[in-house]
Amino acid sequence: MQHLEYMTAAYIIIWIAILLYFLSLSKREKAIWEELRELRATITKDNPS
Amino acid sequence: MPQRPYIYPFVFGILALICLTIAPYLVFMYAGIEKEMGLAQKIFYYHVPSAFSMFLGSFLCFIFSIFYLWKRDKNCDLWAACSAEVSLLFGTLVLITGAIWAKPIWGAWWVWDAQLTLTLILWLILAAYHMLRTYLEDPVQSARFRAVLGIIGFLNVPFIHYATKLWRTHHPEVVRGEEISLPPDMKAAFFFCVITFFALFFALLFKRVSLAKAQNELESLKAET
Repeated sequence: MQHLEYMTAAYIIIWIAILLYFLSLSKREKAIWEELRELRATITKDNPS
Repeated sequence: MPQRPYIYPFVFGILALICLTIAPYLVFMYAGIEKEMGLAQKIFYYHVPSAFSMFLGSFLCFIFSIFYLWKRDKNCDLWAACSAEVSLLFGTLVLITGAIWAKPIWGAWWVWDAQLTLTLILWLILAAYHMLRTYLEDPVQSARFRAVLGIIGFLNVPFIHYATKLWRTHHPEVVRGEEISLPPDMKAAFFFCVITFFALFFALLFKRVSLAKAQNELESLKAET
């Protein structure tokens, strides 16, 4: 099992980095869609026509 | 009312997930262990596809940047910026995994080798691109500067690819002419990992684009009210 620690470190870093990026995108997207929904509801309420 | 553009990130995300469940089997069970490098060589299966994904992102950024300068279409700028961001992520992974691979094989985390240095330059260009987007206040000027930077960044890619031929480097040559210099089992695992990373790249890219479009929509709605 030569260099097992290097291989493990590389794989862990890759998956953690990709997962964190994906989660950060999802979190930001969710917040923006929430805000958009609220803003649209406000606009519809102010201008019912 | 516009709907959330779920379909492309979802399709590529599912494809990436399927590939990700098969890839470890090919890397750890099917492909043999290289005699000299041992398990450190397994880093290659994710390191090189990460590099290819970085090049793909730079290429898309290059194409969209040219179209932006030509048509002045904001949508092209949006796609170029998102491609550059995802490319920066994969570039970071290339540099980190490369260093982890280099330590047991070359005895150093980093050497000022032509291919490594050129990759670092591309990463710095992508980082500069991201900083311009974040810190420059005038959006038109920022988009123009970034488009130029996106074009310059991609011009670096052929030099990275051919660095092993043009200069004496430590870095191994993976693609020799049209041939991949690997035994069949390693070649199969390698190609599958390339497909996996491309699926992952597009899943993240479409998700990033969907976020950027939502941000733009929010800003324009706020401006209207």
